[in-house]
Amino acid sequence: MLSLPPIVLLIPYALFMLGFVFFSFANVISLSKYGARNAIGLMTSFLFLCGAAVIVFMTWQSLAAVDWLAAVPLVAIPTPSF
Amino acid sequence: MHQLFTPHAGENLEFSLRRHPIVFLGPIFIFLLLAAIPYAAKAIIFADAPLVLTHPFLDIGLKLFMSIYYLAIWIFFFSQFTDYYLDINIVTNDRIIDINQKGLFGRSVAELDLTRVQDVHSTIKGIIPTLLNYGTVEVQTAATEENFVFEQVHDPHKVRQRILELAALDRKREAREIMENPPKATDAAAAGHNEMKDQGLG
Repeated sequence: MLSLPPIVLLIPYALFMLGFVFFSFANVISLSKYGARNAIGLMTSFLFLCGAAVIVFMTWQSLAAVDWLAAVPLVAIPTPSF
Repeated sequence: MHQLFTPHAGENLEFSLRRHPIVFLGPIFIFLLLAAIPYAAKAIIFADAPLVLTHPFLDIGLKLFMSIYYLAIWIFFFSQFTDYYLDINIVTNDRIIDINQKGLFGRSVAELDLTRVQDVHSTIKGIIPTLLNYGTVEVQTAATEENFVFEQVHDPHKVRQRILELAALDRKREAREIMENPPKATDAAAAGHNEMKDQGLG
């Protein structure tokens, strides 16, 4: 039976994160470059980075117990839980 | 504000305009709606099918997908704010500067000298704009040029009035400068003579 480690799921996630980091930098740099070097601009950038950090932290926490290298069969027969 | 434009000698900032903050309620509403969708979907779809998530791949995949989803709507919301906040119109005692942020990687800046303002229109249309006193101001210039449009700005009638006042003051100032330092007649005549010579008429 074909089995794969769950770490393969991190490949598309890492690709998305690359894009996310790029667009985050583009946003923050646009704000600071084009005249939002004031309290509103700084606070918004700070809130954005905090929000992103919270989402990433919650993801990490919810997946903390996962053994990323253990081979998992791709097809598993679901077992009913009563 | 001076990061956005370099003032000329004797030029003062009169006011700057952004779209009314109420306009930003649209993106906030969309963000909240998108953020609530997974919870609603979980309640509706997965309430009767707990077996679907017993496979480790599905469980991990779903958690990673949710992370991607929330990060995506979060950056979408932030991009909307950047777009809103970086659109600005600046009015000085000499010119109007219209700065438009077009997405993340596009930006256009246009300037108009106040002496070239021909007419200014202000419009408030709709129930909410009337209640909150915001609308559109259109600055008309010479027929060949594109008009300047300030959309969804606060108190458009007052803005129109102020622009007309500033345009009148700028015209007076320019006329006074010409009266005080008129171009020399001999220089103008010499320039005209040289031009005729160049064209083989003199």
